[in-house]
Order: sequence, then structure tokens, then C-alpha cells
Amino acid sequence: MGLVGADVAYPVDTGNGAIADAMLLAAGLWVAGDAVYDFRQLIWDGLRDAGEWTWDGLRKAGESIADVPGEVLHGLEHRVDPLDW
Amino acid sequence: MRERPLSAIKDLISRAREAPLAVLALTDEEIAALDGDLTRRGPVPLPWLDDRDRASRELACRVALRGLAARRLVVLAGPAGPGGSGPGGGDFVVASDDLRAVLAMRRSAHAVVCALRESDGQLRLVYLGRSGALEEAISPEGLHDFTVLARDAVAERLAAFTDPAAAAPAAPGQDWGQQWGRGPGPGADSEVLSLAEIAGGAEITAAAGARSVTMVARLVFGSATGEQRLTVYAKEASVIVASPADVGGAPALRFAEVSRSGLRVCLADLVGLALRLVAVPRRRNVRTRETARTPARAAPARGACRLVTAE
Repeated sequence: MGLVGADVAYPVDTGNGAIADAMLLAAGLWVAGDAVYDFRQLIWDGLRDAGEWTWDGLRKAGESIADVPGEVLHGLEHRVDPLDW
Repeated sequence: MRERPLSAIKDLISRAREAPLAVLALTDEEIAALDGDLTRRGPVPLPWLDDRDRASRELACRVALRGLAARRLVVLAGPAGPGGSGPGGGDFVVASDDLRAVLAMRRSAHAVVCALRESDGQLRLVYLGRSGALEEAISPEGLHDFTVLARDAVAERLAAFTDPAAAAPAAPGQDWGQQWGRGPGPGADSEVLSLAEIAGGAEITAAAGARSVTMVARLVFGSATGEQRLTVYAKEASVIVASPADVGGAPALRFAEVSRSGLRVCLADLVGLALRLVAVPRRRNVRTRETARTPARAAPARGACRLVTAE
């Protein structure tokens, strides 16, 4: 189980120690925020057979990171009562 | 009752003025015990505790509370805990000013930055106030290290976290980070891809060869601006920052190389923007798409706390 509850084997290119393309792309897509939701199916479909990415690998990487920081931040939002410090 | 935690917080911030102040470290189970209600999980990850079953979680938290009492961080008070299991459960009062301040800062920030380094599972939460900040470093093993920072030290800490091997070049050169927040930046040093292009199979060459990837998001509580996001790719000898972009009204991603100082500028802007927005009146009970999946939780009463376990 990962830090944030996602059970994802981290895709690492063991040849050179670099992180695999699927993770890099998923992390890039994450910054687009809600806009990704409109394009998500299109993106998944477009990359299904592209290069070395595998459909399942990209989907798992993307889904595992899609909302994690947001879930934490918006969860905290309900618990705060700001003080002037 | 608000004065005491506030004075303790200000004391911590003043002690952190010259250098980051490592205050204390707590375990998952200590955090959960101090939160006081095991039946309603908070949003902060508790990776070790979440792997345990319910009975083990309850036992771990009761043991944790005893440990906190033995270290004189809390004082157990009132009747025994659920099931009459002795002094490990039940009511308690936080006895340490530093611990009280840390707990209060976690609950009273104006904005929060969340940085998740996907490559090794390390997480940083930075709770932002006007005059300082509290960093909570969460390891995959469930240890929570708390460090109080001066406001102008936050960006440096985040830069070190997102670029752990110091791969960003020191020389500024053509540095997109220096123009962060002031327009699109120099196109020659950045790669912009629309989501439609990515959907068509366009490769993101700028991110290739990354050794670590960190997603950074910040949210200002009570503002309508939503999350602001960056992804930092640290490579062998360079650092790329990805950010949302707009190409003729179409959503896109921008990938730009930054120097060491440029990375700091990018992150300082993220933090600084949050601090500039803290004057926005707080709107309560705002539920976004994300929060709709996260049940709201009533704020616990200050002062005496109680460890609540499932019956």
C-alpha cells in the first residue's frame, strides 16, 4: 500500500534509473487540473497503442495520482479555523 | 481560549526566524490519538496506521497515548477509556506548549501547500500563516516530522524537496522561473503541448529521463481560486517545471527548464500568491468536486480531548 492508499507499482526504467514515461505523462497531465477530465477519455484512447506506454500502466499511474493532493487539501479545508498567526 | 495557542504559535515562529526549527516528530498512531476520533479519519495520510485492521489501530492509538503521557506531552485525565482498559484511553489534555502550537497550526492555517514526491512516496504538507509556516514531512513509514519555518524559508525548503539531488544548474541563464507569474515566459525554453496534441500521441520530450517527480499544489482556504498546481521533474542535471497553460482557449501543458534560483522563484510565487490571498473572506461549507467525496467534519473542541474508538 502506498503512502496515500494507492497500491501502484512504481514504473521505473531500471536500465537508467529514470522514471517510466507513463508516470511522467500522468504527473504532467495532473497539472492541467479539471481540464483533464474533459479530455481524459480522449487521452487514454489516444495513447492506448502509443509507443512503449501500455494502456493499463498509464491508466493506473494517472488514476493513482489524479486527485491525491487535492483530496488532502480539500479535506483539510473542512477542518481549519484560521487564526491570525 | 484562542489566546494560548496563538501565543505558543508566535513563540515557535519567533524561534524559527533565523533557521528552520525542528519541533518534534510524531507517529501515525500518535497523530490519530491526538486527533481524538478513530472512527472518522482525517485527510492527512497515515500510511502505517491505515495498513492495520481496526482492532490493531485502536490498540496502537491507546498505546501511543500512553507513550505521549510518559513523555509528558499529554496528561491523561478523567475516566478510563472505552472498555475500561486503563489509562491508555479516555480524556487527555495536551501539556506541551510546542505540541499544542503544532496541533493548532495544523488546524488554523490560511493556506496549505501539498507536495507529493511520487518517486519515493515522501509527502510534505506546509501549513501557511501570515508570519510563518509549519512543515509536516510524512514518510511512507508513517513518521510525521514537524518543522516551523519563517515565511521566506518556505520556498527554499520546497525547492530542496522537489530537487533532492540538487540537479538544477546554479547559473540563471535563460530562466523561465524568473518570469513566473508575469506571462507565458520565453517560448524558446519551454515546450507547450495542448491536451488534444497529447491525446493524439505527442511525446513530452522535456520530461524524459526524470529521476524524481513531485506534484505541488496549494489551496487558499476560503478563496474561490481553487488549487494551483505545478509538477517538478528533477533529471540528472536539470529540472523541468510543468504548469497549466492556455493555447488559444484550449487547455495545454507547459514544460520549462529552470535554474536553482528559478525553481525557488516558481515555488515562492506559489506560496506568495497564497499569502497575498489570505485576506479574502473565508467562505464556509464550500464543497467542490473534490470535497464532495470527502465528508465534512466538525472541528473538535479545544482544550480537553478524547480518544474515540469504534464500539
